[in-house]
Amino acid sequence: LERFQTPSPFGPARKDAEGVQGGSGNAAVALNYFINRKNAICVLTLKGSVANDSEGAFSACVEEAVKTPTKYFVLNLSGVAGFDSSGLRHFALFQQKLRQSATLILCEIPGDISNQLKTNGVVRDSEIQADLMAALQFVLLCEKKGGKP
Amino acid sequence: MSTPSREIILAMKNSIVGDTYSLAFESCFNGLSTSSCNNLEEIRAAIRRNPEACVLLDLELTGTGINDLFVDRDALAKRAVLLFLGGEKSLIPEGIDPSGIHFLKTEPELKDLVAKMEEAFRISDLAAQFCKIAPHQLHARSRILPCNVFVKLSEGKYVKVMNSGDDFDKEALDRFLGKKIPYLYIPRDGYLSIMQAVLAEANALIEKPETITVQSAAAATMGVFHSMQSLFEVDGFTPQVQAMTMVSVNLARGTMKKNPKLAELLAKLDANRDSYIAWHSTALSFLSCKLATALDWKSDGTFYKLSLASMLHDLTLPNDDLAKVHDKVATGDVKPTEEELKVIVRHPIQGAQLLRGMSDEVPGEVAFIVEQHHERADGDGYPKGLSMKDISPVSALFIISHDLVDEMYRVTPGNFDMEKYLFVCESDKRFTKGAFGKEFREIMSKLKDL
Repeated sequence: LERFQTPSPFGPARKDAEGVQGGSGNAAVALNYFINRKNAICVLTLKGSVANDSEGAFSACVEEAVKTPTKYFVLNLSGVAGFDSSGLRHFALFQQKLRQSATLILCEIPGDISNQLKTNGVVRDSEIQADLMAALQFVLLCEKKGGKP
Repeated sequence: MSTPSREIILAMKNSIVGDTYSLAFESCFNGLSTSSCNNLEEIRAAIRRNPEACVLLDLELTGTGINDLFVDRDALAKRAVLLFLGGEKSLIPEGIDPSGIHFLKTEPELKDLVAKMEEAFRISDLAAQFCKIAPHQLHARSRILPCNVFVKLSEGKYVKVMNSGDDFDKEALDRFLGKKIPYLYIPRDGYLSIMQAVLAEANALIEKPETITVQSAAAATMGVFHSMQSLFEVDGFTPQVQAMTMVSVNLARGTMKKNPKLAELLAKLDANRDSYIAWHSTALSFLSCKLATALDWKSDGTFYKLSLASMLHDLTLPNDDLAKVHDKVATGDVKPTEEELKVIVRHPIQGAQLLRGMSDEVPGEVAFIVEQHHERADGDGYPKGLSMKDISPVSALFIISHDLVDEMYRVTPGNFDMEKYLFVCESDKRFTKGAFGKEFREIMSKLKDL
């Protein structure tokens, strides 16, 4: 497991993800995560494939993310290359842990993965936004309503 | 999206909203950094630290007491962008340049905010791409042009009139002067290379004071002043412009330590009358020091204060014509508009503001000299209409020197008559009536001995 904390992971992560999706793409890439935090807003960007062995990466990510009090977790899935069915449970638990202390917003879910997650009931429609800007706009909307989604 | 490698400073009442904006900007502009401020003092300090920053302000946080911020930005950080959430243009005080100040509705859509920010950066960057230079300055500095030369048609619109490598000879100079084009514009990089040559000449003189002559010092000081003026107009009073100011101050000090004759000073200054503000500031620097010498106030500290005040007292005026106006009722040849008149009345305060914002420690008295240089004996001056009891002796000396230099400019070079000037001053009691008393009389009496 590699862990990164970069000031602005959005660009590179997105570019890498396109590379994975656009390539021959069969080799599963271990799941990594990136954290970009501005005080109580935390953007978590996942990169790689979600599989049975992703449990450790999710645990490490949650452990690191919840160390600081957080009001909003924005989960950016733009770098996720694919979901192995055995990884879905880990992903569901991962979301559950993030929801315990904050509002969760998912964004940038690649189209095929979105269908897969919805079909399996792993994600909630109300938490999904198209892209990062829409997710951040949703944060602003919540703040306007007194911090409630 | 294009990448301004600049800083956005956020000042939002709701910190989570500010943090959300930060994340949005960082995701849209590669290489951009963000920081946050919690009050006006922090914002003012931030634009002094980074004069190219863009400040996104929530009026709910800052309130309407933001005049000092506008004044700071106008004087010290012209490239800084102020983007307000809430409010409208009427918030901008009179006399403040509104370019680079934008207003958006409160709670804008993120995409609108990012688009506005990108537009603000683009306009600010475009304005910084060109620096103005007077035709005769360009002719004096670069016969073979190091870069293309442009004429400004309107804000952000320039048309090329000469190519890099062209010969900017006397004929070319006369062509532009004949068309009454006060300034040409050259790309910033080309300007900076010319400016480096000007500074190198000035520094060579400062390093070898024995080589300084009134003629070389006057020419070099005016060259440095032109560079200061151009960069100030584009960037504000940045550390680079402040350093150039000190070069011209040191030149004047070096020259006046040699105590040249007044006649020699006048003759050499008369030879360089192309730009009013540059001539006026340089002449004032030399003449005020000369008068101080006559009063036996010839310490280096006094020369320093007077030279620094001379260089900065009119720097905030946008053009020569406005600098020629000396009465708030504008009785001279130049008839400024109402708006220009407000700029004129404000400029002593803005000049003082420059001094108070200098990174090097400057004696507080210098800012007062600049602030008071248009005050008058009868309390009819501006901006405050002070009377003698509120004006220090060194300010009084500066006011007289300022008047003297202005009078010298009005007559044909070589024809200035000190006796006549003193007679007129005595007749109209411009310095001696009311409470303006003996200090002025003493200073005036010394004029006869110069």
